[in-house]
Amino acid sequence: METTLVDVREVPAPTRGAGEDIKIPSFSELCMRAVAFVIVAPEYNHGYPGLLKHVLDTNLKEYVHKAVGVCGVSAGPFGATRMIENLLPVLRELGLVTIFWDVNFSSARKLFDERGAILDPAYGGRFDKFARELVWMAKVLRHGRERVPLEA
Amino acid sequence: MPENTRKPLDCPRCGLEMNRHAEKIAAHAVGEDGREDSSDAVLYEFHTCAACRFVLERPSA
Repeated sequence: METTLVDVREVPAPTRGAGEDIKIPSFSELCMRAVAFVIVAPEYNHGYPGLLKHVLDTNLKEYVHKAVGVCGVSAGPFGATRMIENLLPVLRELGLVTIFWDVNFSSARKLFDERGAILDPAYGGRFDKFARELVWMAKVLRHGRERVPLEA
Repeated sequence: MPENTRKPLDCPRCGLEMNRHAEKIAAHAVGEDGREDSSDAVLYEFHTCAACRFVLERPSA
């Protein structure tokens, strides 16, 4: 399994314009090759970061019927659950297929050591459930995209 | 929904016949009253190549 980390702050999306009008070839090609996505995002005022939405909006066909899971990060105790609830309809409209499991990283300032390693071992099991469902969904959807025609 | 009788797409990268697996209303017009006007919306269909994963979209017939 191959993974690629994308920091949306480093995707060169112009702020004048939006959507597929500002499609970024390198990001588009990466999304085209991907079979699944993990979005890790913080919660600001119950919402997702505007920059994340701006970058996601630059593609459409690259996402259709591909799996996505969401990890929320918050300074408080709720692990960005409200951000995730707000993000789900956006992902659906982009054609992505969300999984049941999320991972909620609460109290983020206390959750990692100075090297970035997570301090609470319980997250290992939570992420394992998340990842196993995401891989299952990615396999099923890939088969569907490639082999199962949409009935007329 | 009428049967889609258009010829399947061949992948421009590898030549394999692509699979049509999705449709989406991908454009919405806004009427003079500011409300969404679906009469100008365009239905797109999405095709994926099993060999190279390339994806194409085209307006539905």
